[in-house]
Amino acid sequence: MGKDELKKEREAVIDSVLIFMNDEIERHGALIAHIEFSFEAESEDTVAIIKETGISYESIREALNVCIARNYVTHRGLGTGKYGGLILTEEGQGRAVSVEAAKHTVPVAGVEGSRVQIGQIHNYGNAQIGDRNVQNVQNVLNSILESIEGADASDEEKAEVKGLFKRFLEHPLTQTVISSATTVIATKIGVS
Amino acid sequence: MENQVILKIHCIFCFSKDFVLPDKNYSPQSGHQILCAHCGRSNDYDSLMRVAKKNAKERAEEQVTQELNRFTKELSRLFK
Repeated sequence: MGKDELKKEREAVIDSVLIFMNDEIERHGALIAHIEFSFEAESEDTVAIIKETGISYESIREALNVCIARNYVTHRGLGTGKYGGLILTEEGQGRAVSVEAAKHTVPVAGVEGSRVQIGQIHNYGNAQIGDRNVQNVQNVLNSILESIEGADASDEEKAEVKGLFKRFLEHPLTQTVISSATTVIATKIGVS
Repeated sequence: MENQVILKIHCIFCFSKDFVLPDKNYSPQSGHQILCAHCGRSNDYDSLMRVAKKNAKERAEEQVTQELNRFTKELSRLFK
């Protein structure tokens, strides 16, 4: 078998591994970060994938090396072995979904070589990035504000620090990322 | 700090930025599949956007952390 064919075969094994992982995740109705896989020898997942796909363990391991290198899968924690404690990433799920979708739909075709820039992500507006960390950020900002108020410093010094704090809170990116928290704190120090 | 970041999407298979499109003004929609001009494989547009948003989120978080660190240093300097 030629080098190109070997590469093609390896890409097909990568597809199979990622589809297996994504199918498991979807079967459980879970998020990608919540389902951990172990493809160590003789592990439950290894037995299941070999049974389902008929691919050899050696090929699966080779494909997993590529998946780790390309960030299709990543280790959730340490101490679980090279092929243990693996979770699918957005990139890995995207590839699995793309492979499955390609079986059922016809892609948009056109002029070859067109370079396209798809979508611009602006750090403006009310798009809030992150979810569970907002309360923590609010606590931190509150602590800072309390520390400023209680500091053994002159009123002028406190006013200077509050001015810096205000600048930070008013910054568009701060507003975007931690909008609800900054609004609460900004109100407390009189930022309109 | 950057207020605006433009992210180019990459083929999920070979990481190329070139896609085969019907015309220059074509704007992909949710549910569309777009072909990579380099490897020829079909990419799910929704998945590409999900990856792009994740990367944008990581970048924004990194910048906020940098700003918080800078702010903390400013505070330390003022209270010396």
